[in-house]
Amino acid sequence: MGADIKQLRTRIKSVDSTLHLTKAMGLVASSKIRKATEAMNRGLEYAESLDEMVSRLIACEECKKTPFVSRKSGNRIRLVVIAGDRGLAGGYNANVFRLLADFPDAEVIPIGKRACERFNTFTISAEHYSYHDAMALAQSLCRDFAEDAFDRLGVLCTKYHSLMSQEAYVKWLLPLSSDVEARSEGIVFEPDETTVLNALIPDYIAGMILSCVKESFASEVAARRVAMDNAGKNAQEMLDRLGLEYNRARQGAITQEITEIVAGSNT
Amino acid sequence: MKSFLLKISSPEGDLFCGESTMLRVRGTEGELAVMAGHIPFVTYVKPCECKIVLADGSERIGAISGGMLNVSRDRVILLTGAVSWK
Repeated sequence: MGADIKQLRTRIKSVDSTLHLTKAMGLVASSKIRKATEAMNRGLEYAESLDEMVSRLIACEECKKTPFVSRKSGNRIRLVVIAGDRGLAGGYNANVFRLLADFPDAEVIPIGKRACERFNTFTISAEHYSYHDAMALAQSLCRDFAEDAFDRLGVLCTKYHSLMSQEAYVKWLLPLSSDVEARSEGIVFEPDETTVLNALIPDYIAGMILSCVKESFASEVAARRVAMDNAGKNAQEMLDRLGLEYNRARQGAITQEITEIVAGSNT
Repeated sequence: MKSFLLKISSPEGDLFCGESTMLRVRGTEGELAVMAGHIPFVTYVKPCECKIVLADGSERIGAISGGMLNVSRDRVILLTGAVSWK
């Protein structure tokens, strides 16, 4: 009985420290949510304007002939994988890596500490990813694409639907798809469409990568907040149950001791 | 003087939004200035000094990292990576 009580006490202690941890991480996540969603929304307009302009540009006949638009036959994929900086975010990182398993031959460029650890590259934080980093990456990607080092470029990131739901998906950036019906009539491009498009592509890729990173980071903190809330609830439940069990065991031991003393004095 | 709505948008959000009478930047073909009533056009802007004359006559000067200038009938949008104001 004594050993049982000791075991219960250690378990209570460990669950208690887990509860502290989940509470702290949940609080940190909820304070970051507002900032992260604000940053995501601020960048949204820029990304949308760029997206609209690029879809207008690729609708014109001249631009369809450039290597960035015409579809290549090959299937060499390069993926920018955006995962979290830390674990304990529910299924956030797992969902990203599960989706990545669908592209076993893809060449991976990781962003976010968890992804970097997985692919053994130097760590790039997703939280502090700047436009400067995105631009450097976009320029090297465009150079490689122009030199025919790969055929498709995608970004594996997480879509932020709401606080409760996020979804990992792949956003294809290159070659630019011209499925969208957009008209470039009535607008003059200086000096011409192809030059503007070629100059704009690194900006476009950088803008898209950055907006994906911001969105993924908002998803990460939202996922962590929800996961930590649930974990905290479970830990509290467990603590209550263990406390009850502990008290019962302690009371049992006392009762037994009394019974033994009484039995001893009677003989 | 007639003014137009100028918006400078970056991944960090809107860096400038207000009524202006003139915007001067360096395009692919050289320096250019946009005033109210300009025909709609789109061009790529090189990293350069950007000068804005506000509707009240005051000026704002900053360095932009390059980007895209989109002039439409009702407003002018400059998409750029970053601006540092003087």
